[in-house]
Amino acid sequence: MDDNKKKKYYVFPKKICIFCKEKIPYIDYKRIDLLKKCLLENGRIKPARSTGTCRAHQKQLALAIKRARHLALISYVEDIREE
Amino acid sequence: MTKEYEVALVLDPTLTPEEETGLIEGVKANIEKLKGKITDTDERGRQKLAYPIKNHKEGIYCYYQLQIPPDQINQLGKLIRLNEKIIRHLVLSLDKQQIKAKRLQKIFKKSRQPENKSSKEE
Repeated sequence: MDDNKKKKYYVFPKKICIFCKEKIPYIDYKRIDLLKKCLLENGRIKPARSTGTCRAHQKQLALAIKRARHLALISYVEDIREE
Repeated sequence: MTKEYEVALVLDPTLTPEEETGLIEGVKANIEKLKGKITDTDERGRQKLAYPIKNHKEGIYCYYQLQIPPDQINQLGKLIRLNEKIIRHLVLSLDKQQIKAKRLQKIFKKSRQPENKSSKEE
């Protein structure tokens, strides 16, 4: 028990919201390069807990991605199966 | 009273360049008929679609920023929807903050481009 308590775990550095860092007040749905950073390989939106985006920006981002999908700038799903 | 809006259009890729300009001018004429005013245009030409729409693999992308009285915007949306040569469209209303941010982004881009060019020349 004592050994377990003394074990030191690696502390991950705190993630910072990339949109706050670059001071982007409004995420435009036309900036695909920016949106693609926050997409998984299969086209789904990355969870905020893995990217570190703040709540306010994540909300804007989700809206921007959905708009871009409607205009066929980004695909809804991407096939990543190997054939 | 006017409000700021943004309109995005994706046009049919089978249009000839003449038909394309004719269609775009038709939309612009409609906007002016509804007492609107175009403040900014961004025509990006042919782009590949992320997924096929009505068996088309390409689309002609145009973005417009305009000022129009709020009671006329539904009419404009209707006119766009009825046109069969427009595959997709999106109408957004913009806040004061968003307009400001857009202007800032434009200035930022313009200020960045000449620097990059000069650095390449050097």
